[in-house]
Amino acid sequence: MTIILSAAGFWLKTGAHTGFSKNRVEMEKVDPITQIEYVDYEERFIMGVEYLAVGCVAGVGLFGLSFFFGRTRS
Amino acid sequence: MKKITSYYLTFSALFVGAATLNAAAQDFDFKDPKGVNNVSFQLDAPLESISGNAKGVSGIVRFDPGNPAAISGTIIVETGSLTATNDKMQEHMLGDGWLDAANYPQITFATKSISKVEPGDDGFKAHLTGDFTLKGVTKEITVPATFTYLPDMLSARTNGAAEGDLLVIRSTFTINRSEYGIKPGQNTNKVAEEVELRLAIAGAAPDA
Repeated sequence: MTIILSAAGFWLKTGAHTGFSKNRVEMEKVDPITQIEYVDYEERFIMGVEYLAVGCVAGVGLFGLSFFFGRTRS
Repeated sequence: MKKITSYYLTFSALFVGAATLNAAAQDFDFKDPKGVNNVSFQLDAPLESISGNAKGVSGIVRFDPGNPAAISGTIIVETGSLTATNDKMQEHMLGDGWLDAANYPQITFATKSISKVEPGDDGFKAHLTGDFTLKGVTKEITVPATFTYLPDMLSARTNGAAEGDLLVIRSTFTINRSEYGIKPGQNTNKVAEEVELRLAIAGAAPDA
């Protein structure tokens, strides 16, 4: 549960991006002389759904494993 | 009186000649150290949307403001300058399985003819026909484009370092990557075959 919540929390914090992760973010700008629209990149990690999915799978997997390693009652 | 008339006619002829020379064709250089000239790309597949940008633009276009239909030239984009927002995606895109930037370092468009020339809001519009070369495959395509001629604006762009004119070219068109031998028919659920390209570039013609 901690892993799932941590993954979900980090995903939400970085913008809840619904695509794949990004290493750089596009910053749209306009050249004042020619009015050309262009993009500069800011190096920043944005978590994508693939990491969220891995976190959820890991959390569920650990939860399932816990049944095999739980204490047996006599 | 005769002498004054003769002097006036000579001066007028020289003035007209000078004006004609000012409207002559100029070579506009599209290499942009400021990194504003760019070509953006967009692919929308069912499972994945890919977008990015390329700033390694260069090339020379000959343009005559008095005769815009006579435009000609070549625009070059360095394949290695294509940038995606994900490092892994960019590595694959430039790798030998896809664009193979190491062996095909340039993407080019060389004009052959122009048609449907008409005035636009900021200049004129036309359809450019030319040879588009991608990954070593050349195909003749026709693309719509808008041209904006900005006389004497180079000084503003270079903070007074150079005087001259600017020519801005914008174009949006679509190509099919399969036609250029880029994994034809493969991975279409993640990498769309239709690639939209948006060109926004400015060339400079410094005063002689």
